Order: sequence, then C-alpha cells, then structure tokens
Amino acid sequence: MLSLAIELFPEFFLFLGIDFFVALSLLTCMMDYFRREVAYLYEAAAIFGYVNLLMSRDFMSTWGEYMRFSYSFMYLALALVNVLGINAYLLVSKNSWGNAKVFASVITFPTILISGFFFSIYGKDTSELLTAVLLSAAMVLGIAIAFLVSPERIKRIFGKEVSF
Amino acid sequence: MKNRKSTDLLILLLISVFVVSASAAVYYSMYAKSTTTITAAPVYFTLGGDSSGILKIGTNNTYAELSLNAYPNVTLYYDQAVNITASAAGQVQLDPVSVSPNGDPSVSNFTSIVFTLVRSDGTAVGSLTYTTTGNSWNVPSTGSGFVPISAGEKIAIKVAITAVAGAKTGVSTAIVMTIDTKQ
Repeated sequence: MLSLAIELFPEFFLFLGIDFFVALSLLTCMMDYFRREVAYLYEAAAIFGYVNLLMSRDFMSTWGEYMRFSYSFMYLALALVNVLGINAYLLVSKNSWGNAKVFASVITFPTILISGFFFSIYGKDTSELLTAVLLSAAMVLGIAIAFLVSPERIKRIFGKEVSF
Repeated sequence: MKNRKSTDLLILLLISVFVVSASAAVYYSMYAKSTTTITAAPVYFTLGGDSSGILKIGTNNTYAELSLNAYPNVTLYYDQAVNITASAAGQVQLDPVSVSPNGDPSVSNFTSIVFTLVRSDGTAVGSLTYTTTGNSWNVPSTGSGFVPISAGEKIAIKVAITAVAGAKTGVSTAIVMTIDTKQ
C-alpha cells in the first residue's frame, strides 16, 4: 500500500521558503521591471536557506523543535513578504495593474495558499487529507494547463469568447 | 543585452536546480530515523530435564535464574539445567556479562564452572568456561560461538560445577550471562 510520509519537520517551511526564493529569482530575471542584481540577490537568499537547512539537520538534536520551527517559519515569512513586495512594486511603482493582477493570481495567491495549507496541517496526522488535496491540486493544474495551451479548442467547445 | 539576460537566466536556472535538489535531498535525509517494534523474542527459556527445583523463569520466558549446588571435591553435572527454544531460525551463543564476587577469598572454593550448549542428540556445540586463579575468576573474554538453531529446536544448557577439596559450605557466586542471537 502506498503511504505518504506526512510528519512534517519544521524545516519543511525552510524548504518551502527556498523554493519561493528560487522562483522569485527566476521570475525577476525574466521580467524587465527589475535590475539584474535583484535576481542574484534572491538566489543568494535561497542559498542562505539551503545552508540554514544543512545546519539545522546537523544540529537537529541540539536545537529544540520550537527554535527550529521559529527560524524556519521566519524564513518562509520573509519569502512571502518578498512575494507580496514584488506584487506591490508592480502595482504601485510600475503602475502595471495588468501584470500585478497576473502576478497575484499566478504567484502570490498560490504561494500564500500553499504556505497556509502546510502551516495548517503542521503537527497533525493528515495523510489522507494531504493525498486528496495533492491529487485535486494536480487535477486542477492539469485542467488549467489544458485551458492555457489550447484556448482555441476551448472556444470551440464553449462556443464563446474566452479571455485570459 | 538580450544575450546577457539569457546568460543570467541560464546561470540562475543552474544554481536553482542545484539548490532545490540539494535542499530536497537534505530534507529527505532528515527522515532517516530508526523505528523500534516489539516482537516475540527469537529464543526463549524452557524447562530442561534437570530444571525441577533449580530454575525460575521470568515473564515471557526471556529471563531465567538457576540456583545450582556444588559439592566439595567433586564435579556436579546438570545435563539440562535449562533449555533454549527458538521461535524462529537463527544463531545463538552464550555471552558472559559478570561474575560476583570476584577477587574475594570465597572464590578460591571453586575450581570451575562450565556452561555447555548441547543439542538434543547430545552434541556439544559451544561452551563458556569459568575457572579460578586464587581469589579471582577467569572470565571468558568471548562468547561460546554462534551455533545455528532452527525454529522450534531446543538446545540444552549443561552446567558442570567443580569445587575444591575442603570447600566451605554456604559459599556462593553469581554468574550473569546473556543469550546472544543473530537472525
């Protein structure tokens, strides 16, 4: 029987933060609104998180769970603040409402949703819930990708204009 | 300008792949933990032919205490002081743990105590020999040597105790040993 290892360590939030910083780094590199250094700064933040993760593993028995949770969650919070900050920057400084809206839908909202979800299940036995949510999320993602890559087909199916 | 952006993206992508995969590996390695499950002991103690009156077996048959006698200037044999019975096939040996008192004048009343593992066909398959030198016990430095035991098989522990001529009565010694198993 397939079973998921669902007991989350506090370092999971650190891992999540690293992923968010890496994503921010690549996004800011691709977007024209940001200086070149910004992307490297986010990459450095991700590497800092990785070093933090390494140290956390090595001092796992020395540092208590409360301390491990504290610095892991702070790192994740820092990543989330940066995501929100970029969203706000696009909205306010660049006055680019369209891009800010897309960024909020594609990056900010899922990021906060994912973080909130894992924060809510931390320390609880929720193997079945987690499996169900992951499968549902995968299905929704698949459907969304299908919509994005072939809008013409969807237009034909629904017989009306679909705007993205 | 466009080339520089592409180069930056490529560099960042490579670093990102490294950081994310290395982080995942580090996080996964945290799950490398041990789990302990209580199962039935692979071997347990059962009554032997000579156990009557000398053997006390503890709960779950995983502990046995023998109260043996010795007579001056003679070797007393308990051919089946206690039996070891296997619930699963594996290997067993006798391992010395402690002897007390040691370095005491009372020790000199003993000559030797030999524990031998004997199969049901009478074959001796290993032994632990405790001898005395003056007031000290010569404790074996190693176990009796692993011997295979099949599921349900009984191996008897034979004990031979020799006391010196003119040994004092009422002198006793306590020997602790373990049954070491390998599955």
